[in-house]
Parts: sequence; C-alpha cells; structure tokens
Amino acid sequence: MTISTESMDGGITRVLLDGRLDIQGAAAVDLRMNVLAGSSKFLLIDLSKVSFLGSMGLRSIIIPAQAVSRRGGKVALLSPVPMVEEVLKASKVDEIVPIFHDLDAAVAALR
Amino acid sequence: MSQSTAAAKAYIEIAFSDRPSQVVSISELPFFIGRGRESGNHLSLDDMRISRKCAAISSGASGFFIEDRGQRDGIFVNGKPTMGRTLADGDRIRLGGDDACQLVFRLHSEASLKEEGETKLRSLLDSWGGDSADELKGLKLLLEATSMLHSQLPLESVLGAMLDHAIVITHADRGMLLEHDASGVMQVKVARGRDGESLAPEAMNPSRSVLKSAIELESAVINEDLNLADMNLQGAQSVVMQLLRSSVVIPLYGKPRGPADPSSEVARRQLLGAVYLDSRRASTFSALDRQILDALGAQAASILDNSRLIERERERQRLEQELNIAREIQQALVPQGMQDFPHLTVTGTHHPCYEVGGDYFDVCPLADGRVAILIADVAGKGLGAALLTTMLQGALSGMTLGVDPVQVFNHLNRFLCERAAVRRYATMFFGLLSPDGTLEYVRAGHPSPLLLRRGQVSELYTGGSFPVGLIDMAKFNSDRIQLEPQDTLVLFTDGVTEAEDRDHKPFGDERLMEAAGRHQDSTLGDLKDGILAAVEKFTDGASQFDDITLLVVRYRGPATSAGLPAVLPAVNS
Repeated sequence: MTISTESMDGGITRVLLDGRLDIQGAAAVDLRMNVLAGSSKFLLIDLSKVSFLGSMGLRSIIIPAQAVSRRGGKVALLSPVPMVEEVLKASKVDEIVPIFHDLDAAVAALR
Repeated sequence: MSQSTAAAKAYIEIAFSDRPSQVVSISELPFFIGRGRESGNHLSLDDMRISRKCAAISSGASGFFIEDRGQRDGIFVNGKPTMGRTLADGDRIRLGGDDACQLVFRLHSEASLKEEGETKLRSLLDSWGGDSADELKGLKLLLEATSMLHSQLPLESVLGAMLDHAIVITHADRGMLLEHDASGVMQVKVARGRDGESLAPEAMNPSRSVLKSAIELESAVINEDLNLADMNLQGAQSVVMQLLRSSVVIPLYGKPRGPADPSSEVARRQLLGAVYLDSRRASTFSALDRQILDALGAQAASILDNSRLIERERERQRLEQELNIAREIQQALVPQGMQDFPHLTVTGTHHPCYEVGGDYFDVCPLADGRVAILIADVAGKGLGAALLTTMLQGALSGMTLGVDPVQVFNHLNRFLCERAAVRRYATMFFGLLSPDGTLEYVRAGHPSPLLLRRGQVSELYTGGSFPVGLIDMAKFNSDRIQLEPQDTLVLFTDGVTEAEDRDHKPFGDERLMEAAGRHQDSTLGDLKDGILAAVEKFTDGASQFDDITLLVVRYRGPATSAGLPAVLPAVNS
C-alpha cells in the first residue's frame, strides 16, 4: 500500500492511494491520511489504484473525510473500481463523500 | 569449604563375600555407615556383624577421610587397623574382624571419564590456590544453574545463584550482573555478597571506567589495585569511594541468532551484559587464569541468554493464556445450544479466523413473545474487535427490555463516534420477529440477509445503510416485512462472501445464493452445513482471513400458547 499526494489548482490536494486497503493497508496509510485531513481544505482521494477495500480501509478514508468536512472543507472520491464502489455504497458513504468517475467533475465539485 | 564438596564424585562398593555386591554413591558428607537407618546412617548395612555406629567418611584437607565411629573390633583399610585415614581410589575397607565384611572405596566413574579435562582444570585452578575440589564444584554448579532455568524458579534467583558461583570461583567480595536498560546504559540487575546475600542493586555503584574498558576490549578485564591502575582518577571516583582494590569485569555475549547478515563480514556478537566482581583485598584476582574467566563468561552469558529466552517464552505463554480466557468468555457469550421458539427455528455458527473474533450473533426472546435476532461484524479482527463485540452485546441486550432498537442504534453510533480512538465500528442487522410473522428490522451497513421463499432466493433489501460508529451524523430507522410460514432467512457476515480461493477470487454473493437455494428445503442444520461446505469447497484449503458467521432462521407460522403452530387442527373441536 502506498500513498502519494499532488497539489492541484484551487488549493486541492489529490491523494493517490495504491494497493489493497485491508487491515495492513489501512494501518500503513492512517497516519498520513490524518495529517492530510488536518492540513487540507479540498481533498480529492483517488481510489483508481485501490484493488480492495476492507472495513478498516473504509475507515481510513471516511474518518479523515469527516474531519475535513467538519472544518468546512470538501472531499471527493475519484474512480473507485466496482468492488470498492460497492463497499462504499453498502455503507452509504457515498452520501457523505460524493463519488466521481470523471476528474473534471470531481474538481468542479470541490470548488 | 562445604561439606558436600566432592560428594557426588565418590562411591562405595559393598563387597561382602556372603551377600550380593552393591554400589552406593557417597551422596552426602559426612557419610555415615552402620546398621539400621534410624541411627542416621546413609549406608545402612542390615547385618549383625556391623555396629549401629560403624564408620563415617568425610572430606578432609587432602580428599576423602574415613574414621571409626565405634565398629566392634575396629576398621581396617587395606588390611591395616585404623581410627581414621585418608582414602584413595580402590582402598579396601574391612569392617570388624570378619574378612567377609569389606567395602571398596571408588572415585566416581564419571570423574575418571573426565579425568583428562579435570586434571587440566585442576592445574589451572591450583595456580590460583584454594581447594581444587571446591572450584570444580563451582563450575559444576554453574552447569546446574543452567538446568535450574528450566524449572519454575524465578529468573532472578537463578541469576543470583550464578553470581554466587562466580564469587566462589574468583574469591570476590561482591558480584553483580549488569544489563543494558532501555536507554542503553549498563545497570545492575542482581547483586550478591560473598555469603550468598542479596545486595541492593542501586547501592552497588560499579566502576564505569572499568566496565567501559572491558566492553571496548570485548574481553574479560582484571584490575588490580584499582587506585593505582592506569586510569583517570576522576572517572574512577566510585572505586576510590568504596575503597575497592581489585575487580574483574567479564562482558557477556549472546550467540548470534537468525540468518547471518550477508552484508556484514563478521557476525557481530550481541552484548548481553556483564558480570562484575570486586574485592576490598589487593591482588585477589591477580592469579585468575584467563581461561577460567572465559569459561565463567561463557557460562554466565549462556545462562543470561537462556533466561531472557525463557522470560520471553513465559510472557508469550501468559499472553496465550489471556487470549484463551478471552476466547472462553466470547464463546460463553454466544448463545449456547440454539433454542427453538414456538414460531421459529434457528441455528448459527461462528468460525473466528483468530483466537477471538469480531463477528457476533445473538438470538433472544422478548417478554412480548417476539424474538430478537442479531448479527454483527466489527471492523478489524482479533482481540480488538472482540472487545467491541462484547460491548455491543451488552448495549444490545438492553433492547430485549423493550427499548426501541432505532434509539439503541442511534445511541451506539454516537457513543462510538465520540470515542474515535476506539478505531472500530460495526455493521449489524437486527430483527424482531413476531409470532404473526412480522419482521421489524434495523440495518447498519450489513449485507442483506437472504430470504428463501418458495424456491426463490432474494435479498431482503438493496442499497446501502450506515454502519454503527463510523459516521457521526448517521441516523437509523426500521423497516418491516411480513414473513410467510417456512420463509427462511440466511444472515451472514462478509467473511462468507469474501472467503477467497487460492487465486484470491471471492466466494461472492451469487455462489452464496446458489448454495442457499440448493439447500432451502433441508433442515436448518443441513442448510447451514451445506453453505459452509460450499464455502469450504470453493476456498479449497486457502487460509481463512476473516471470521465466518452464519445465522439461519426459519419462520414456522403463528404459534398457539401451547407452542404448536396454529395451522394444525385442534384435536377436539
């Protein structure tokens, strides 16, 4: 599991998660995600490279996302694979953090 | 010194001409020989020719010594009458006037096997004076200390015994064992005086400069007349303060463990600690042989090394025990021997992937005749998840007292979100099945139970719902469905559908629905076993990486108060 970030126009931080977000994956990214949540106003979490999303992995995305929202920021999820999208929707997380499959739409939603 | 010095090294051959020969080892000194045990004899010769108090063997300045304790007609060694004399290997001892009563004194055969080694050791030991037998005993006891480690003795006392032997061997006044603390500073762990008394480790104040030089040299260091030694006097303050004249420091190294690091040419020995011995007398250690110190160091290191291994093993065993207790508690909390109810039958199974699991189910009757059904899956695995299931069970048991389940879910969600450090949340399905077949349920991010009805398999609901404890603003509500007699619900956790085969392909919803459909006319037990068998066949020995839990409920139809389904005709109408 790896995590990398990229600054985009409009103060958006794009976070690229890569790998399996299982228990180990979640443990590997939790700290970075929390730091990002504390320092970013607009967070675009790119899930296109996440092949598996477990329950602890779901938590690794949602807890930071809620923290950003609480501070008045915005979060969007980008391009989850079907398995990952299914997990997100089963937990109704898509009602809290919108899911996009198009980068421009996601960026527009964050502005 | 001690009376038992050479005890185990000698034995007596009973060579009476008119009785079977026998070998008795000299187990204790002084060793009493005579008739009958009651007079304290170690060797009891049941023979009227032998006096009750016949003879005694003790250790003398030059070895074993026999003395007459009142044998009628006296004792003879190699034919010569004696009141007392030193014994040598093979000496024949005649008890009294009868030639038939003879004993042969022998040095222990083990000793002769090791004769060569002992001779060498003796010469080393003789070079620094003292009774060679004493020193051999010291080394022997060191070996015994190693075996003591495997007893249940506290490790501290084993390490203390090791120091006692080191003190005996070196004639030191004090001995201490030092180990690194968390910050890498050598600290005194155990300290002993020359009479085997424990000394307070914090009061020891060993010379840091002497320690440092031994560790730098990676070898035992003897310092005689410390105040004159080649060292910085300021650095040697503790030595001066305690008026210590001489000391020995033996650094202890462990055996390298694990595969050797190919990047390092020399396997680095791990420094375990040090034995530090000191004396107020000058030149105490001047005659100590380096080989003796090395042998002592190797023994002490091995004892220390083993003691740490055993300590870790004991700690592991303790944790395992704790885990077993957790598992017992968890298993005791799961409903035992699933009870059937007038209007429903139920069965369930729980296979945690570790000792304890994060899945949990419960079935319990309410006072109003409804039956509560719950399945929950806590995020994560093992003990952390298991702790939360226990808490959930406690909170949810409140529902059986008539509290609105929706309120309980909202409360639990807030409770867990406010305690984010718990880092756990749960998906749950909670249902209340009335005798009339009404199922009221609350879902919390849990996969939909399967509904088996008249040959069809469907999901109770579609779409998502919030888990409990993940999203602080989540609100829960209840839904309702009417069950028909023989309707069957299959509740499961995602450990079932996400069970993987060797190629990491998941079992999936479709296979589960197919397996459930195939067994839907079976008894509940067969339905449950059929699904488990399908999962097992699919995974084909691939390791289970999540808890697997199944709960199967079949609605029998409205029940009468007698517990029989109302559809049955009354016997007397």
